[in-house]
Amino acid sequence: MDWAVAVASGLASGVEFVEAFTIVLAVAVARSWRTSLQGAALAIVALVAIVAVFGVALVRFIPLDVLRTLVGVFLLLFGLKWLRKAILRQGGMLRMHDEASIFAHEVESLKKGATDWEGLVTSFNGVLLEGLEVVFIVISLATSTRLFGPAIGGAAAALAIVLIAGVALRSPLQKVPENTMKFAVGVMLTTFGTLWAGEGLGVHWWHADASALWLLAGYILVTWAAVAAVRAARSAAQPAQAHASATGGSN
Amino acid sequence: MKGIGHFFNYLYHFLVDSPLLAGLALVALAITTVVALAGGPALAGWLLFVLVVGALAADLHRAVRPK
Repeated sequence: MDWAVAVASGLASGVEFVEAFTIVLAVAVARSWRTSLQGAALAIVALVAIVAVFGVALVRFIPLDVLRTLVGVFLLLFGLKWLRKAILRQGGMLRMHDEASIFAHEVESLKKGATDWEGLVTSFNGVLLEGLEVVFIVISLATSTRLFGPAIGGAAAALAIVLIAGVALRSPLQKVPENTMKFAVGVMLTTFGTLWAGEGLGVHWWHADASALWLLAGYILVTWAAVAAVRAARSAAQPAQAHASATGGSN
Repeated sequence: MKGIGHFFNYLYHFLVDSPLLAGLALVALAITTVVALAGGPALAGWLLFVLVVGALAADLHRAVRPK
C-alpha cells in the first residue's frame, strides 16, 4: 500500500510539475531566470501558507469516513476527467498535448509584453495553479490512507526527477510521454476514487484494500478497450464523411 | 459572495470536463449507497465498478458520435 500511494502521488504530481516547469522555463527564456524564479518562489510561499492553514484543519476536524467519501468522490471525478481526455487523445479524437507548442506560445506572448510583472505573474500563476493541484493530490492521498510519508515522498521524488530531467535536457519537456502518464494517473486516481468513495459510502470491498488490484486491472482493460472502440468509431466516421463531401451531400 | 462563486467555479472546472460523465458518476455513487444501505454492501462494490465503467462508456459514445 505504501508503494502504491507513493507511485500514485508521484505520477499524478509529476504531470503537474511538468506543466509548471514548462511555464517557468518559458518565462526564464523570454525574461530572465531571476523574474521567473521570483514568481515561482512567491507561489511556493503561498502554497506553504495554504497547506499550513487548510491542510491541518482538514486532517484534524473531519472524520475519516466523511473525508474518504469526499476525497473518493473528488478523485473519482478528477481521475475520470483525465482518463476520458487520455482515451480521446489516444483514439485520435483530441489533439495530443504538445509541450513544445505551449512553450513557443508562452515565449511569443511574453515577448510582446513590456514589464517584468507579466513574467513574474505568469510564473507565479503557473506554479500556484499547478502547485495547488499537487497539494490536492498529496493531501487527498495522505489523509485518506494516513500515509503522509509515501504521499509526500512520491511528490518530492517526482519534483526532483522533473527538475533534474529539465535541467539535463535544457529544452521543453516534450520527450516526456505525457499522454501515457495521464493514462496511468487517470487509471490510478479512478481506482483509488472508486475504492475510497465506496468505503465511505458503506461498501464492503472483497478482500478490503486488496480490491485496489482488481479495480486497477479492470480499469486498465476498460481503458484499452475504450481506445480501440474510439479508434474504430473514428475510422468508420472518416470514409462516411469523405463520401459525403465527394458526393456533395450530407446523407 | 463573489469570492465563493469564483471558488466553486474554479472547483467545477478543476473537477469536471464533461457534465454528463460527472453526473453519471454521481448517480452511480448514489445507487451504490442505496444498495449498500439496503443490505448489499458486498454487491455494492461490484455494482459501483460496473456503473462507473458504464458512465465512461456512455460519455465516450456521446463524444465520438458523428455530429
